[in-house]
Amino acid sequence: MNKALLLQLLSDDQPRRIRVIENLLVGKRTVSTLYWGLRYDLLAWFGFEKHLARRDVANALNQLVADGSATVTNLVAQLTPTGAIQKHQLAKVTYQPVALSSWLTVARPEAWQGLQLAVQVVSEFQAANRQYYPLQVAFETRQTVKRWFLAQRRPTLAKQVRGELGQFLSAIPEPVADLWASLLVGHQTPGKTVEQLFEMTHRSALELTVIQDDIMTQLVLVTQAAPTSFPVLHELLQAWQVSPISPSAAQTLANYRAGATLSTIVEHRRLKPSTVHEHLLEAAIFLSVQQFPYAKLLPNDLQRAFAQRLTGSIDDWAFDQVSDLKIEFWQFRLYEIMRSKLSDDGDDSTTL
Amino acid sequence: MTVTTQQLYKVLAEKFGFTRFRPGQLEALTALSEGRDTLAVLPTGAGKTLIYECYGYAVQRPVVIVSPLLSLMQDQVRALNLRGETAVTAVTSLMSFTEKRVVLQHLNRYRFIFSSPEMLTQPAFLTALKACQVGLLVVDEAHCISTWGPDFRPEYLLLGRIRNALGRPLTLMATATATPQVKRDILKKMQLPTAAQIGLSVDRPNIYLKVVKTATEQDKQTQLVSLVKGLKTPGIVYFSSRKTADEVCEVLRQSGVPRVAAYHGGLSADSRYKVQQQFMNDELTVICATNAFGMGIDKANIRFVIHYHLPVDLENYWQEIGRAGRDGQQSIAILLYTPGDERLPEYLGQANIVAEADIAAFFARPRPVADDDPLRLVAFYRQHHLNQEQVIALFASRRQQRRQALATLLTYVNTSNCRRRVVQAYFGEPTSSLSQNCCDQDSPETTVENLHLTAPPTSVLPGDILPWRATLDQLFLGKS
Ligand SMILES: [Zn+2]
Repeated sequence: MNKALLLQLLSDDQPRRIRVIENLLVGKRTVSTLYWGLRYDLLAWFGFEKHLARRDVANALNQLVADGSATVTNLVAQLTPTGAIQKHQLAKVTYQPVALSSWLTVARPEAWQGLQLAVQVVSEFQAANRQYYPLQVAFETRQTVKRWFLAQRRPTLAKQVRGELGQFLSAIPEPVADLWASLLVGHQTPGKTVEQLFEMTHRSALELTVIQDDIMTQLVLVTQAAPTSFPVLHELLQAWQVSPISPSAAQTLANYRAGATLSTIVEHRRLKPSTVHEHLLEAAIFLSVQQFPYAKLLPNDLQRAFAQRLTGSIDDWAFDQVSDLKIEFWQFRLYEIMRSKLSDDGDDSTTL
Repeated sequence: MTVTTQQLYKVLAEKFGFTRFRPGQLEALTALSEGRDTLAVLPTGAGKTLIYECYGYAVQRPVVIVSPLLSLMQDQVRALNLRGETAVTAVTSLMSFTEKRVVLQHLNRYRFIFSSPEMLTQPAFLTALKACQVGLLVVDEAHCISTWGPDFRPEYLLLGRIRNALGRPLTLMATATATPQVKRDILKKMQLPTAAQIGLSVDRPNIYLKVVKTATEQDKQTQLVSLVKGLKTPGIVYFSSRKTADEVCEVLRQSGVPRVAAYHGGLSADSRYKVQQQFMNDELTVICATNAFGMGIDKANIRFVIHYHLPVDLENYWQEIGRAGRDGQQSIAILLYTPGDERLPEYLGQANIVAEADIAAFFARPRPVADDDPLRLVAFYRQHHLNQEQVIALFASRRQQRRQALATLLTYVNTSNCRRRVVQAYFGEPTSSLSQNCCDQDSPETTVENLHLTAPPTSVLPGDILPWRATLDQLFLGKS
């Protein structure tokens, strides 16, 4: 992590907990992390830097504080007016992701590895070269590309891939499209490294990673939305369109929707009641209000009682204010999630 | 199973497209064909992989290759793939559960199976291996079994037992460098005292040896820049730290060395792949690397290898400079030295050595240890039934060996006689008659100019970022 990333993730009007930001970047899937990710409007950054070390976060924070860009008390940080201006200015001169809200619907590292390998295989195939070092990617990714290639293998394949990638890239701003394409590997074309692009363009490694992730997400979305315009890439990339909800949480929600009560889910799937509640909260965080059965889980009279007592900024609500209502904490949290999504400031629901 | 010389030549022609073996190869193959376990000491680049590949094809039975490093295995698998051999696998900790299950189910389909000693102790893997009748067990980098060597790996001590568990298959022990003491130790630990020994001289007469001493770190950097700018490329500069590799790479770039890149374990797998390929393609001409670079690099025309930091010992140094001049053309190896440089290898050499008190404390109260904890080695020994005194003695002798190794390296740096003679004496080789361009001590009048190693003027600049349409055309239509 560098200080530019942290600057981007902090706010001047909302104090933010450093541990939450750290856990989000690392991709720690707990309801607390996800909930605060929603509140901070930072869910898209979930798992962005899986190998982030705690001392790097501390270093970045110390630098921001030393620069007068942020203040911090008890590991809760907030941008100063200077910091807010810097953040604004940085946003003006760096690439701003356009598909951020869909980042979590694409397995970006796998998709990028898979696409690079597919491009290399097709390029070498076109050159009729069988002797080359393939990019090293994970077994599952390699198998996916292999299956795709065996099914698509024909003399016109290179031309088709060229055509589909070209169609996609012509809709991307030129300098960014140039950068992204220069990373690709193929016959007698080793491709540029991120470090080299950094050297050549003076865009930071962070910005280059954001570009890489964002273009990859767009490519997956575009090809999945229009299979007839992108028949070849649609086939390849569909494997990496994913749900941000964990399979077990999705299962719990499906069971509940199908009419099972929470206690039957607990019994049938041998889960702790608290786990089932966490599954529902996780699903609620990632889905839009219309996609989640709030009405069933939070009856009207309970919602009315909540609405009477819980006013002001959601971040300031406390369970104490409603704990005498014979409810459990997860219901309070679920209400917070719903209200976050209904108010303008918190609506970051992922487009599914 | 016996194999005739005729069969070996047939495989050589059909699988490798050669008509002649390189020195040492046929000798090793003949010994194996006679059913003799063999220790082959062949310098890097002499083609030791051809020995077991050729033997595997000739006997039509699987070959198991034990290797100390994941990266090394991956490189060898790739090299075999590249030649069109697909029946190759590396059974490693990197394999996913699914992949491992699939591979073990079909193990008899593979001709070449790479793995690590730890993996080979797993019962499921051993059972699968036994079922497919291993034709040859190869212990690659066999010097790792020796506590006398610099690269000692305790898990290599398991190999004697693994070999027994596999039903004592025919065994080839291969290494690039070994002193007489290490050779004896390998045979002892593998319990193969009567193995045939094949050896070639470790000397590389076409590499001119030079040491450049500088007073300060700043001078060293200045010297390096002028050396790199003056020398014919491609070349490699080795560093002991990633950070310095990055920094000096930047200094070189700022000083007008255009096609230079850093390579180390801190880069993504993607970037490492690309840097390596760019170097192979001559798009990059100088690499600032840590010792992670070069393992699988088979580039024949490397003209110089410069060491910015002292390596840990002479074996490592010799192995690393051995990447220069594989094409037989005149090349140069330069070691940069500033007084005090020995502190880093001294530290690195002692880093994994555990003090007597800590060993005693561990034996008194054993506990689980992390993978990067120096105590891991103590735990390993204890687990394999060594007692406290034995472990203490092992570490004491190891500490002594590391000091000795560093002292030898400094002899190489400080000698006022021929540097090659220092190396030959160390590896227990007879002193050969020296070439005219041997080293800076006995032919100080030799210059980079009269070695014909000066750089031709380059006008090509590193590739710009092309418009995406041009990139796609290059990738898919073969236009450049
Ligand atoms: Zn000499």
